[in-house]
Amino acid sequence: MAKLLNAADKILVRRMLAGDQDAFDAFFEGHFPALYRFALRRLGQDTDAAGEVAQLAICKAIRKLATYRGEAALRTWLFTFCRHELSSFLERRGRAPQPAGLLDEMPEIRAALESLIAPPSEGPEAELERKEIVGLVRLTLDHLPPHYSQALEWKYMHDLPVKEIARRLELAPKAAESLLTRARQAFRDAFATVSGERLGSARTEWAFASPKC
Amino acid sequence: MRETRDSQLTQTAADDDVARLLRLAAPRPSVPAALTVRARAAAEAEWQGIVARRRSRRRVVLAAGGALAATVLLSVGLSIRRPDERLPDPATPTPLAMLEALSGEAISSSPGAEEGSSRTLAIGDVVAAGTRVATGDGARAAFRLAAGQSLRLDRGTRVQLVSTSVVRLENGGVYVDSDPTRGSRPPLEVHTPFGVATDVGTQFEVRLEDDAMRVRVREGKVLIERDGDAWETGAGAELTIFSGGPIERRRVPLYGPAWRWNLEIAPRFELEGSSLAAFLEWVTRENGWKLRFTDPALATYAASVTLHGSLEGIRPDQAPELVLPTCGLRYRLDDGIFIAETPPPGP
Repeated sequence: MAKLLNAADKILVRRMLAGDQDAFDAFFEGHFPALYRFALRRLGQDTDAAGEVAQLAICKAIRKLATYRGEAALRTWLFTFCRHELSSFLERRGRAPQPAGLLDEMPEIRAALESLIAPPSEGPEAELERKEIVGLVRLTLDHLPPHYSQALEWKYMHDLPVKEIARRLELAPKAAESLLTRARQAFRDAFATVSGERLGSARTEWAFASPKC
Repeated sequence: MRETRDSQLTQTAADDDVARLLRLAAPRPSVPAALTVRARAAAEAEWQGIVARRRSRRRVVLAAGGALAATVLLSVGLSIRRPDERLPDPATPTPLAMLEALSGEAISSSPGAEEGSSRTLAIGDVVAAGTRVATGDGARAAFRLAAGQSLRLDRGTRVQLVSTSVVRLENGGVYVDSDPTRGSRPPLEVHTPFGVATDVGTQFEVRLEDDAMRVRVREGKVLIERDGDAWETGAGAELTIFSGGPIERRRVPLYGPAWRWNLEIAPRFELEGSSLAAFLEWVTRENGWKLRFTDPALATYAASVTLHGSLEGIRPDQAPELVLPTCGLRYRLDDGIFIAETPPPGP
């Protein structure tokens, strides 16, 4: 699966380098929002700062586009630029980043589900865990190829029928169903991967403590 | 067979769990339109640049003579644009600016539109390069340009947004904030019948009077050019260039009534989820104040505090009074310096 996904990324990059406007549009629309959200999570929800960092990251990545070899997914490659821009941004502002303990353990999808649908009376700790899991779901979606995450959001968050999803993706309905099946599988795999990186990972995530004001 | 069926049932259950998990999580936050316009313009410019450079290198290679050219042509031929590949269409208007704030009515007329045809703008509307915008006698408008500058139009102002780096002022006055702390941007030129004012990372105002152009600088520098002459003026200075030739210079304060009008059309600060530090940067920038903390630890504190709520309908000069007390702080102004401090302990 990974080899197939990266091949699609390589083709997209090749088309962009050849001057294909549709390819640029797909690249920007598919990846910029994820870069923005990546930065937003790490900048204490500062939308302007996240926009600036994401813009710098995507511009630098475009300058280096010819060096993309498809060894990693394009999204992963772009996140590398975003991390670099985040470090520079924080350094320029003289901000001291704080490591964030985003999740202490990786729940199975069913356990995550149970946490999300737990009765509200379980108190602030359950609420915090629920928020963390919602964050993890969003993070996972951002790690998927754009058409997968888009299809999953349309189907399960906006309740669009498969026929409409097929129309938006310019696919036959059967092809859209097949894509949704692959997208769910990819989500399961990515959810495990994203959560697994947090367990004993040497890389810290930067975020700001946010006492309520 | 049973094993296959069991694995199919397991798969279906897992798919159901994924579906339920996604339904319970809300959709991901979308990027604000202004940020998208700006980032897209920058990214597209970057992309067009690399495409142009790659094509230029191929032309240089193809120009080589002799047998080598034939070999090169064979290898380069794979990269030559195919008929179904589309280049950016120069005839398609490029989005240039988004209307961020409006008080009253602003009318735009698009390039290439029928003479006399126009539309009334609403917040969030995006205008293309070449568009003319006019504010009514009682109206003000604030645009976010694709390169990130804030362009604010005073009452009775008419401008043409020529390109990402050129604005033509035809009547009234504009205020420009290019905020260099947010990364480098191309200079913005404001063209008038009396000269051209170019920003060098700054906040400034350009105003047309009957027979003169007046430029007032709040931060940074502005270069003014006319008929081969050039003047540079910096923060706290005002330069008036008359059509007959004379030039007047005087000092102006960086804050206060002279700059008040642009506070009334300042784009709203998104308070919800922003840090107190970001809020203070916005407040002091908009008002032309310098920010100071009585205690360095307060700067660290401000960076760690997240704000909640909305500043809908609140001007930048009114906002500190509402926000700071909720964070256990107060402020005072001392000759343009905004001093944030903790209040003394109560009785």
